[in-house]
Amino acid sequence: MDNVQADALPKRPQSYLTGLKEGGRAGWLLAQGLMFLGAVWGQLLSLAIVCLIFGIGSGGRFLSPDNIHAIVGLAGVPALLCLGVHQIVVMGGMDLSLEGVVAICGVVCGLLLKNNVNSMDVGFWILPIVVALGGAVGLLSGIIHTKLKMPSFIATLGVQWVFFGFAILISGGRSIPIQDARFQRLVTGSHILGIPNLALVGVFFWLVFEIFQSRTKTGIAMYAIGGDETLARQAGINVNRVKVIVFAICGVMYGIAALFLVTRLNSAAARVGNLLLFPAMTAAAVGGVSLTGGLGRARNAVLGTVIISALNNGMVMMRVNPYLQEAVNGIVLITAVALTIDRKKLGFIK
Amino acid sequence: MTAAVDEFLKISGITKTYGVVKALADVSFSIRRGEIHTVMGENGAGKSTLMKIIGGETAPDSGAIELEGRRIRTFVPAAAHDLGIHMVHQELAVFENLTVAENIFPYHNFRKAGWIDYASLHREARSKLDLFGLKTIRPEEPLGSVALAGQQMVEILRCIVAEPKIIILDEPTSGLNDREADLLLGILKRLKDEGLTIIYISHRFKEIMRISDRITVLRDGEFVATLENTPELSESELINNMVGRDLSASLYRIKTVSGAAPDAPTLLEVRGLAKKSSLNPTDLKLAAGEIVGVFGLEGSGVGKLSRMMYGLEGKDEGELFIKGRRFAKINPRIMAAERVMYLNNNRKIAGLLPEMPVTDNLSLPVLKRFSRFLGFLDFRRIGRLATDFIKAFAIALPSLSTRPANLSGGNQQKVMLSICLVPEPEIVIVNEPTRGIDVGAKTEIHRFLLDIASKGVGIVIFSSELPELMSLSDRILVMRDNSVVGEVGAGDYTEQTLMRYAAVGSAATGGE
Amino acid sequence: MPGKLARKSEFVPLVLSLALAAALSAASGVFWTSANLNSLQASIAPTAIMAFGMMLCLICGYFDLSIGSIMLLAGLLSGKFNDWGLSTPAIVLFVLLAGLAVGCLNGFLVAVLGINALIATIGVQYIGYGFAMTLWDRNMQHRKFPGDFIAMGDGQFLGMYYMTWVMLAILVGLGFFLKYTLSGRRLYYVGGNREASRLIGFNDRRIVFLCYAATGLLAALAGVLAVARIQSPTQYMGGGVHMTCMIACVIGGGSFAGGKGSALGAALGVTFMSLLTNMFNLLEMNTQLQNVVVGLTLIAVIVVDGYLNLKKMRAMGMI
Repeated sequence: MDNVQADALPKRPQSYLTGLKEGGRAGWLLAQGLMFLGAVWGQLLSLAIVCLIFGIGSGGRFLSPDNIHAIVGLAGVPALLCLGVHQIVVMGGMDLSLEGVVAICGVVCGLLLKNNVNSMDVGFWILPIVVALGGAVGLLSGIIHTKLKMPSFIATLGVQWVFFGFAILISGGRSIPIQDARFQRLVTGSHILGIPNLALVGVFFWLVFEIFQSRTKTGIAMYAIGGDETLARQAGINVNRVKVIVFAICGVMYGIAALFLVTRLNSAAARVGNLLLFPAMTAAAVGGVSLTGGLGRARNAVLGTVIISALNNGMVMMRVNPYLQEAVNGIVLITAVALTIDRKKLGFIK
Repeated sequence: MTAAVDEFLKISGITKTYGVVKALADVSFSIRRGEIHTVMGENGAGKSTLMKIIGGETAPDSGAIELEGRRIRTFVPAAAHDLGIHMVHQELAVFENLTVAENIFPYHNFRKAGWIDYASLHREARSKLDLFGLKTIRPEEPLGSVALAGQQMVEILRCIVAEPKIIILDEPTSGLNDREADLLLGILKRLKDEGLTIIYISHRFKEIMRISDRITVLRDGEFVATLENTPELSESELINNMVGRDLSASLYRIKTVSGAAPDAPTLLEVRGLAKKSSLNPTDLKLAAGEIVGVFGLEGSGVGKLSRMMYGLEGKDEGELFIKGRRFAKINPRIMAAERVMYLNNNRKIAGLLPEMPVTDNLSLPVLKRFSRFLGFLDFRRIGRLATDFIKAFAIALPSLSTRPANLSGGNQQKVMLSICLVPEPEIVIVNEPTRGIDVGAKTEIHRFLLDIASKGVGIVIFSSELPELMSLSDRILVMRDNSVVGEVGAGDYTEQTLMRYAAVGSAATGGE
Repeated sequence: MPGKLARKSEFVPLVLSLALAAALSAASGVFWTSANLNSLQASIAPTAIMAFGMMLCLICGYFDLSIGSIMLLAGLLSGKFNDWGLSTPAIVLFVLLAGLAVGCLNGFLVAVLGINALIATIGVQYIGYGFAMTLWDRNMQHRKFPGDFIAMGDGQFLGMYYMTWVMLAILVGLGFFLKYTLSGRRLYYVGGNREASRLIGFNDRRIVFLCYAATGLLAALAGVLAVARIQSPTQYMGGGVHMTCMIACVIGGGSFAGGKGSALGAALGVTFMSLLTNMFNLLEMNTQLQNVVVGLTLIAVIVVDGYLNLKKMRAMGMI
């Protein structure tokens, strides 16, 4: 009989936000902006601190337009990955299959785009193909997790190995040179106002995810499941279906990221996904996505990625020993997780 | 001198509050050395909390516990064990990956030349098992392969071998059949003869009156009486102590007339719902505008029935009829689609997700119904409903995107009720509507339930609070031992009658 | 009697190892040569020592993914200490202490702070790897260790390397600890039902902390032995070893759910994994096929473990 009722809190004063909201379109926008700021002030503060430290340390070079351009470009692909994986963390799970899915999608891109290994040249059709492939693998992870009732980290660990193996198998262990330069120009260019295209893509998906999370039934169901799965079930939510959908979405993001990765390098190999899982998880944690579930939106994923990218860019600029950089990343991950744990919900990852 | 015996374990002024709820209020009584002392009371009377305190699993807010005159200073299980107090829990605390012997003797010291001597361990375990007639359980087998009843015996043995001064048993016979229960009671009697003091929580009158020396009754967290178990002690007397409330001055107005219209259509009908060892075939009928209450003591199957009716737990057999349509398969999705709403107040914040904006919380039960193309939610409709409720319930909400965690307790309750109304339900199943809530919020909720019933909604209320049931229900079903044993209509409500059904199974008065 | 033997959790890895060994000796004439057996020993011994640590954590219901970086740290620190002119016993002592320290860090994060074991140990893995590699410089390969240090890795006694004897000693010691001492048995209580172990009065946090500390120590020991054998530290030490150990431990009877496992099982599991690698080399399988085989083993192990747990949960009515 541990039922605890929250102690009566003093009544909150009428919020200025309500007033703003009633002030027409402009007021509403302003209110949304302020609410957004309010939610991520911790992350913005960290970003400000990072900029300050490296800005001073590098004599201002860190904050030069060129460098900012570089940071944003650096954050592009990890942001896509983090946007995919953070939703699984929100539901209280974990996805260890990132590297394997990226591997198989990358290799498939290499084999289907114009290359010197076979005669395929699918051009822009690669987009729906890679989306379908990534989504299918994600779907598989979701089904293994829900139907076989395996904890997500075990299910995705298995998927990781299988598809990484497939990638190695069909690529013969070698890299496949890609000869469709259109993509590389797209991925590395900045066609509009000098903003890196990759950044625009990132912002686009950010908006898509924000809308998904706050305005669709699956999005809201996702937070319900992360907050209290029993309650979600009780409310009539089809928990299994939502989980599978979220895993599939995650897979789609992995696929898109893989496409960008291989076209940026103009070469596809199974190892293209290596070492990408850790930064994605760190970005999610730093951004404020709690491992215990139920908390964290797309803005947290994107901001976290930007902070981590800025941090790493700054460390490179200050010529920090690359190995120490790894150590710093590890410390950042642990600290971020330790700070966002909800004590009451500690338990094994679902 | 007699104090050492009469006040072997002295409980003085124990108070424990959880949030708004006083689980225990100034409870004082004593346990004699070498007696079997039963603690009785309704659900929520405070029995388990008190035992947790004695057993060192939680600390009291105020008051003292003295064992043989010495005050207990630290409330941790290890400290209690050092003092010789051991507890057997209702939910088994056993280790299925280890052998029976290792479960019986977790702190054993059977060693030979410094290493564990398994031969001795198994021999000792065997002798203990034999001593208590458990011939079929082998010491070397993993506990996981022993049936539940056997596991319970093993946990009891674990306490016994620690040679305790006091053993606390919390509803030990709840999972046992008659033969096993007899065995257990025989064991307890033997232990008492050997000088052990036993505190026993139960609501099974037959058992209690068979083995208790004295019986203490708690009610609503307060001490009511300690009675000697003499041949003259009758069930009625016990029942009167358990429920004898003075309800005249209370805020509850007992219903004397059923509020349901006699020709109202049957909204919900449960036929033959059953699950092996959890629920015997049960029927239930609910008419429009009717409030049916279900009451039972712990272990009577009330919780199981409420969950199985909504599909939160699987059933073995039985079917559901909603407005005449037959459903063989029951799960929450189907129920939500049929406009059946489930309210469970047994959770931390009343069926709400504390970190989710109120609007999102409100939309949870109707995600499917209020969503349009591509899954986009119709926020305008939800928003309109939300504003209606906020006005109707006078909820103090700074904005629709506030999170319940930032609201006062009472307002959280109101949001919860609003959530209940969002899907415009025709049937509402409520589990413990007002557990853990202050008086003001309680009346709100009661008023709310009566109001929607008057508008034609059918309600089934599962509650362990008799006064509440009696003031809300048009009729009350009483459960005992996984079956419905009686039904009482408005106008015939007395706490004694209902408790008699729940405890003994029949309405017949008169002695044992 | 045979039925009882078969039900022991060490039966499976034993049979698997014997079968694989038999198959290999049939398939390759090189299998039983002393060169091959020596290299097998050198691969089994340090890995088994680390697997012992992993098994301790697994019994408690946790795991440690940072052992690879601890091994690397141990190897590189040995090189560094050697550069500073420390004597061999001093090198060994300080390296072991370093490993113990990292283990304690793991224990602190997981047992005291309650951080998820996966994240905490992955984080420490990165931190450890990062810090360790700052010690690395190309010239390390060329500086020599003193003779007695190398003897630790090269020396033989009765036909087996010292390190094999060390591993066997730890195997016996740990085996006895887990089966025949009261403190050892407590790990099974904690892993079997953490909440109940608390109710009985066991200090579960301290037990888990000590397991992680021990794992750190063992991983450092493995690192020292490995570097003594190859005679100079490399930056590849410890790579992927956590996967191998995890698979080995689960094959050896451990379970992600906790409460199960034994030292002998860990050793046999590692034997199997090492025989597998040996097979790759003897049969000259290409790396792709190797990855596939390892991956398949991992999946098989996960699936079987998961399935057994599922069956148990169904039987208990939890599903």
